[in-house]
Amino acid sequence: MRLLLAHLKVEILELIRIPAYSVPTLLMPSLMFLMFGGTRASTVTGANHHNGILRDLRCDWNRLLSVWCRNPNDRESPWQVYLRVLPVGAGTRFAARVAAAVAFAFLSVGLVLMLAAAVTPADLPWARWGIFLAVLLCGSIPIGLLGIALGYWAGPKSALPIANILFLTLSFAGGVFLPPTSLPKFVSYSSPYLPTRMLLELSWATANSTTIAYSDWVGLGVYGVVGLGLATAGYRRDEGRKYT
Amino acid sequence: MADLVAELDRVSKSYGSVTALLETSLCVNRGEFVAVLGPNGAGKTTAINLLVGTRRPDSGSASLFGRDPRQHQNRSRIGATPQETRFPLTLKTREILVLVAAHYPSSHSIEGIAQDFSITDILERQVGGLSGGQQRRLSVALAFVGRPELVFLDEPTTGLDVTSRLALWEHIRNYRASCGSLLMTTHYLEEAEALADRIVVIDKGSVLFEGTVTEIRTRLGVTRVSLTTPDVTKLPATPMSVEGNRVTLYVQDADALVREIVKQNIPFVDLEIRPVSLEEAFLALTAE
Repeated sequence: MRLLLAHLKVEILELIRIPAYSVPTLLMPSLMFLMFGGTRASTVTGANHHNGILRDLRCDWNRLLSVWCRNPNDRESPWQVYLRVLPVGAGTRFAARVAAAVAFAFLSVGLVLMLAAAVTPADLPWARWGIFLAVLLCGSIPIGLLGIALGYWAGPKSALPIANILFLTLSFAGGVFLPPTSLPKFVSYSSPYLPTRMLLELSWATANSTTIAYSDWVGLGVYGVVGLGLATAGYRRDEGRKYT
Repeated sequence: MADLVAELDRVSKSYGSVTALLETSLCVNRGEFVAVLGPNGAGKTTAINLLVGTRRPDSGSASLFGRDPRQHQNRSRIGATPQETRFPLTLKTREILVLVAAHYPSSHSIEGIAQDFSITDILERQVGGLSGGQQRRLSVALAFVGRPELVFLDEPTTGLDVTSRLALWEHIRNYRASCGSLLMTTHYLEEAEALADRIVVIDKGSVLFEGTVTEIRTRLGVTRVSLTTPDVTKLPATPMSVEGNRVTLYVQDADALVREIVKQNIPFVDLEIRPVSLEEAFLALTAE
């Protein structure tokens, strides 16, 4: 635990001092919200408005997921290679990187929420926002793990582009950009089985206090297990190879 | 039976079609300083990687204090330098030292280790602003900060100026006083001679030979003598190469050779004597 915190501190320090990384990550979602979400405020009812905010948040969240995919670029960095020598388990290092990404995401989304509260008539008890955020965070972990797994299995140069395209596709098919009801027919068949759609359903249900479908949690759990398995296998495979 | 702190037992390791190590065995005894000497591409870094557990051997076994180095708990008694000194640019020297020190049950104070490696004045600076030499001193400091029993240094002084190199050698000698063990790789014979009890010479993935400093110096400390002489057969030593009248010999004692040639009145012109590089010494060695 102590080592987890030590690694987490270093990860965050490293990132927060790179303005090119930290500023867009923290401020872009708020900017997007102000530009697209804020304008909806005057024309929609409360419930629809919640959905609108959620959709925007999911857009931004998806972008933040690309943070998980720092992993492909960093996998080979001499620093990461060196850290393997230290007496710390790979799991702890993974967890620290994930926690750092989550911390950034948290800050970023927190900003959006504060803006939403200030700028729009959205009316959700703070407790519910808290639960909503928690659901969003927990539900993103399986998707994040899949991203890390992709980082290990795809070649170092292709992992990031593949990840971007994959997540964009998953987000679209999951109903993040267009509402699920507006999705093209061939996409909507598979949509409920995608992790992005599951997360969307869960976050809607939480925010609107409608019934939560536990099958969505189970589905995300399965994706999480698969992601963890693939990521671990990919990490172990690294130990046997060198990269050309 | 000597106390082995690190051992490679007939390991082989290939990366794709490139064989890095072939049935190689290597060991470090407690309190011993071992230098692995070899040209670039010899397999030195792979040997270290196998011993610190960042790579897995294809066959054979690597052990640290008798245990598998791939389990992270078994690495708590060792320290190692990063192979390339490329730290995250925005982290400060102190932060990196603190991070690494946190992994070990007892570690040196940050101020203490900084003083030992002359990096006190850069403790609060971000790594991106450090010179190559400063980064290298930091990376060697990282190997020692956790008070390890065994230290791995991969070409520690490459790229350092003479002063820094000598200062580093001094610190490594001080470490010996605390009864630590050390395995270092280098392609400088002088460095191996200055620091090691035992030198292992490796090339193309195999151990050519190993021995004490004196033994190695005898084998590798050759001088190249070239001269033009009409009568090759009269020379007191066997030439390495003959091109027309131009003869090249590799000998231990060039002075004795020249005295002998002069004493025997063997005519010669264009005498050239120069010390041999490590690569040439290996060629001479492997030609035996």
